[in-house]
Amino acid sequence: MSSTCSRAECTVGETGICLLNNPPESCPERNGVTDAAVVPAETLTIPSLPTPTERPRFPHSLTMNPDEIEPLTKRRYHHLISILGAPDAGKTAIMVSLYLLLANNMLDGYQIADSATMMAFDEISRGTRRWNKGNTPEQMTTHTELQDERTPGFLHLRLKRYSDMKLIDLVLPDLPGEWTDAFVDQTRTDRLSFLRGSDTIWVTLDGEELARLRQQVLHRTHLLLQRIAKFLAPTIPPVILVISHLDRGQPEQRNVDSMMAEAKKYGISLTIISVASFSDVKDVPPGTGLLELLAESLKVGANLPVPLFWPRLSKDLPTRFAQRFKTQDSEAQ
Amino acid sequence: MNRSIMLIGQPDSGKTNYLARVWESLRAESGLLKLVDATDIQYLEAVIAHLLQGEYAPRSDKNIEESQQDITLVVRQNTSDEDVDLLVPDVTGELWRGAVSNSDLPQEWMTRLENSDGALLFLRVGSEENHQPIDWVTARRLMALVGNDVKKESVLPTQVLYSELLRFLQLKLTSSRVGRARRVAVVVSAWDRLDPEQRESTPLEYLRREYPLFAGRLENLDDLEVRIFGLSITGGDLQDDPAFKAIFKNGDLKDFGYTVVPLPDGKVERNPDLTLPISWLIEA
Repeated sequence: MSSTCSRAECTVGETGICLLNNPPESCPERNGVTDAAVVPAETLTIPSLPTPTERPRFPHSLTMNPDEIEPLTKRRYHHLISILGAPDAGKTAIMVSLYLLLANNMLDGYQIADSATMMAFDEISRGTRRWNKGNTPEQMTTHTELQDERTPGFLHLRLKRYSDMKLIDLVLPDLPGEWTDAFVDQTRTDRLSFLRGSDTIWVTLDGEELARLRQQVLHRTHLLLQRIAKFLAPTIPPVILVISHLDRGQPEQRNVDSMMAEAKKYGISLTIISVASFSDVKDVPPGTGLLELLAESLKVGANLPVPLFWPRLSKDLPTRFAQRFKTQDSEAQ
Repeated sequence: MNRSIMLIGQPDSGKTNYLARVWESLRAESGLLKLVDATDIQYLEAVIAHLLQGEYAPRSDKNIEESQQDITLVVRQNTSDEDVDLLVPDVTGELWRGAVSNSDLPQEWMTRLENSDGALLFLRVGSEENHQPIDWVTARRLMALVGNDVKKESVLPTQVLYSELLRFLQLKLTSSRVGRARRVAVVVSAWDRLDPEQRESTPLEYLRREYPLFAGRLENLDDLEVRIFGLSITGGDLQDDPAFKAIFKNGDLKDFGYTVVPLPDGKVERNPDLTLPISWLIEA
């Protein structure tokens, strides 16, 4: 039961507090006692809109965080290929090129068997479908932006290799180039702990920029190799230096020699492979070098029998990089 | 025992016309499946009325839309004495496209999907809804020559859409019986629209050629049992082939149409039984 008031602005009926600070029972403006249940609807507080019914969702197939990737890796061996490189060095372009060639059955010897991140691949490859009045767009793929700036976004691909009909799972982090810059310039490693689990690390390098700004690019690459060695020693995964824009020319031998020498100095096993993720010339088909890159990357972990990944097993240093990643992280905590 | 089979596919993938054609096969008991009971057949009759006049059912027929509903058919395999209740929800293709774009589904349909142990996944040859975009990596010269339709830049490629639908089925189909595999029958409809040489290839070869990504997914599944069928509900083109249409109108519906079944020797067989995909889905 509650009183009502002749003044429209008074809320005594709902709050019990008189607008004129009179006792509600004796206020001269009161309309009398009324049953709350019969108060006209328009005098009551308007109820908020009903909450829209949430539709049940399917698990997404966008990029995955490490926790989402882990269950996938429990059944099969997954090759973790970490990719570092400055902004616009072609990291995403390599992955998109690989995906599009597979999706169109144009990568000799391999078939795409699955991807747990198919919508992510489609999203990042959308730029390659952009019409640019007959010219190749300036930017083939979107600049990588992460939903969570502290957690890497991983892409997944499962391939079938026709030579032995083996299914091969790849996990590839799609990272903004700024993470590599922060790694080099500020030794920021907190977001890169997954590097310890890598089977292989690809360091991407813009081949055109290497030709144009030789000393600067070499300097930055040397620094990056140095950082990798320092961060991951004593056991550094093999590193493949992936030089893009093969369609615009081969890298000079002196540059190759310089980077090989630098890697050797830090105990890094380095391979250099030139690729053309996209191509503007007839003689160099798009995707040139990717088969070689794939074959080199799959050498690691090729004969491992048990499909275990990232388990927290023992204090002994496991023989696999992926296991080491988790073990060392756990020990550090 | 209520077992449910879902018909799934993008808009214009051939679901509705197939259902009508199968309805006639069941009624006439001309295939591996025979009809035991059917309660409300208004929707099926609305669709088949078009076929019997030599037309495919249009996508926006008011009578069809108003009578659209779940269809419950009680069927029995000729080789079995077990009746099987088939709940065949006919859902607009837009719903499935939306499901892929938004990664969600209305509760009602999600529940039905989860209560299904099999699905027919339709993909129609030559549908205007099929989208196979070219890109700068795999078709650079073509793209430079003809360009791309800017409006369609963001449309999901058909093979990505179907790969996602397949993923949904992997996640949600539920086995109706312990030890029974969950099954998906992929139906490549409008098989008659392929050129004569391609019609002799297997439906899987067609998918490998046109949709390698989707074919790769199908060939490497380990948690669903999949069979790929080609199918033509009339055996010819009622829309663009007036000579065939005249023959069809003068004939008997039960004499038209076939299911393409791959044989072990790599060749294909054209079987007049259009219920084969459903029959395979529900076989014990």
